[in-house]
Amino acid sequence: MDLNDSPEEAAFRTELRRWLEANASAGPTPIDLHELRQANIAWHKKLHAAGYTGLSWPTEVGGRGLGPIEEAILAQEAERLGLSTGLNYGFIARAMLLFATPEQQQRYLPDLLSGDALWCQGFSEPDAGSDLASLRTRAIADPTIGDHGGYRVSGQKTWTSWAQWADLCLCLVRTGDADSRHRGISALIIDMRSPGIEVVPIRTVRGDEEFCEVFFDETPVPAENLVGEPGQGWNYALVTLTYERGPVDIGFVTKYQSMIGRLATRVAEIGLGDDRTTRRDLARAAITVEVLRLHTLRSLSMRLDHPPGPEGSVDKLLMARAEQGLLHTAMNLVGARSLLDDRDQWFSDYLYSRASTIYGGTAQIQRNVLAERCLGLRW
Amino acid sequence: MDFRLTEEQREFEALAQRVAEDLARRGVDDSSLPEVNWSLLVKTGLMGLLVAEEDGGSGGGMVEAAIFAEQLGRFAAPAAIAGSILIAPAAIDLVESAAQRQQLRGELVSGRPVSVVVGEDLSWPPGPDGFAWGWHRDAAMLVPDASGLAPINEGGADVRPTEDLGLFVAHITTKVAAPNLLESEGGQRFIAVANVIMSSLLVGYMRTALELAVEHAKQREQFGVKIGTFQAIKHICADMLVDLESSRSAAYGAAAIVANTSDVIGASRTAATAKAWCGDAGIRVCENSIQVHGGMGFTWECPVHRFLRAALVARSSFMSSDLAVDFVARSAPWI
Repeated sequence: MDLNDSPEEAAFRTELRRWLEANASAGPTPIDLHELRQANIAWHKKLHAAGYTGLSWPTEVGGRGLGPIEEAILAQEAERLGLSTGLNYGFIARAMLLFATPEQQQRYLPDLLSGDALWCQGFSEPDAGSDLASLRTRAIADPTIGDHGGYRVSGQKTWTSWAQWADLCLCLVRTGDADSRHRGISALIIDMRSPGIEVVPIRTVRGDEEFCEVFFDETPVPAENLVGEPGQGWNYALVTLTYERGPVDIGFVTKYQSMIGRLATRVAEIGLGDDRTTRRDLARAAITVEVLRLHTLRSLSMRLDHPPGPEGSVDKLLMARAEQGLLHTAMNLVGARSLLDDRDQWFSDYLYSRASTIYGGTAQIQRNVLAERCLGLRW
Repeated sequence: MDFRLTEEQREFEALAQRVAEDLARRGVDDSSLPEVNWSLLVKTGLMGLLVAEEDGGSGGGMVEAAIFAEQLGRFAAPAAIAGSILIAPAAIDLVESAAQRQQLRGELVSGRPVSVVVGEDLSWPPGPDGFAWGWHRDAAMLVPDASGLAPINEGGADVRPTEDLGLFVAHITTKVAAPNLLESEGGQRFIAVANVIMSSLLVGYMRTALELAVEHAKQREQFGVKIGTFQAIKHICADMLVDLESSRSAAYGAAAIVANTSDVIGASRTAATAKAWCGDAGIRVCENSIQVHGGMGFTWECPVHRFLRAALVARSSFMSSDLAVDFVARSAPWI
């Protein structure tokens, strides 16, 4: 047990840091969401050209064949310079690697990795949030579609991030009976340019439009776009959700660390730098973030032995605690000022932190997972 | 970067578990001072775990110390064991005379308990009055003197044994005013070690408190069903698991950093971070365990209170979790 870099990891870090410092584009980060997205896509392509995407993916589909530790080093080093790690599709790819046919992997994963194809994920529905297995978007077999038949998809998805700019949607649909619950769900790859698709952005509590509603009306999908076998969609969803947390989380830790630094500077500017209570509040936020860092490092190491399981809900709950605690502290210390003038984005970041106990499975669902699957409290 | 225990560390964990379980079984007695089978500890090489090989010890590191502490905590083994084996060696380093240091290490390795004296609020270093942390009869006691720490025997102080579930006993009065040991690098290292050990003990307490709660929730029936089927109970247990696992990461992470860095300030800060976190989490988990047990949890018969008492002691000992927060506030690079 040693938390220092191995010689190989240190060499990788040095080489990566040198490349990032030389290639980070100067200039302010765009505020406008569309411009931000475009800048991130361009940055992703640059990372890809240099071989810094898909670090832990197998080489057969264009990855580097490295491990979760290298992914974490990328997240740390990028965040250290305030850069993103590019488009975050790792969780979609992980499930594809497990469930998709070799032909599907060859067809879709290279473009996903390079950023040439933009993906969104169609899981939640207006009446299927925490109870995802009750989803109702239906796919009805139609032999007249394509060369080998296919499906007609009708229904509504929601909270679909970046659907307005997506080329493809990984969509959970009901292929079984209406009351077949998790047994009757399948995963389809849907071309977002197909007929019968309408995308309507949702304005979030922050005022931006990251999420969308997606409506399908008799949208034709060829049979070869079914991922794996019919009825495997639920397993697909579970794998995706466990991988939604991961090496990239260590980038959040670095982000929180720099937020604490900025908050300390701001607090000093307004004359509270020597106030004992204020310093304690900052220290408590820093302690939670440091514990999150150590816990994330431990979780990454565990992945060297086995794929992530339900214990990942600990990471999710801890991360939400760190983020919400930190932003609460920020609002307590400088919040009233940021309500009037949010150039430092404290208010905006605070609002965003409220989502951390909701997205990817609410905090209550995470607790159910821990109690039932880790502690055995189920009958 | 690798957070996993090595093969040898896993083997050591199995040994530590067997010994801790055995010691706790013999040692727990509500009405008298704890009995400790020191010869078992000598025979297994655990007695000299943190003493260098050239001084007759096993030359183990902080990760091994954390592993042993967790197992001792899990079974609520007498505090004299953690006090002598895991805390005392770093205190012996603060004894000025090389001859005395060597003698103390030799005695420790051969099975003589050594107890570090803390203040009346359990913090270190103590004032003129204090407690011998994890005292045991025949123990050498380490108290401040003009140049660091010095050993005294029972004759050298007013020792009044007290009874508190065998956690720690003996009231000490010395006449010496302490130098500011916390300012020295050795003093900082001692506190860092103590913070890691207390954090790891707390992980052990939490582990058992959670196991007991889950066991109870799986057996106890109300409204015709096991109470563990209720979300209100499930969510308390899930929160306990988050506290336990995050504390384990904090304690072991701090142990690895203290073991593998020459940056004393950074290591001290991480150890204080672990102490601040594990102290609060430990109390929460034990309190939650009592809550899940309901009325049973409020009885002497239910073992959870022993872990709560031990957790309260560990939280306050050497550097309290509150002072650990202040330490982070003082030493953080961003302030």
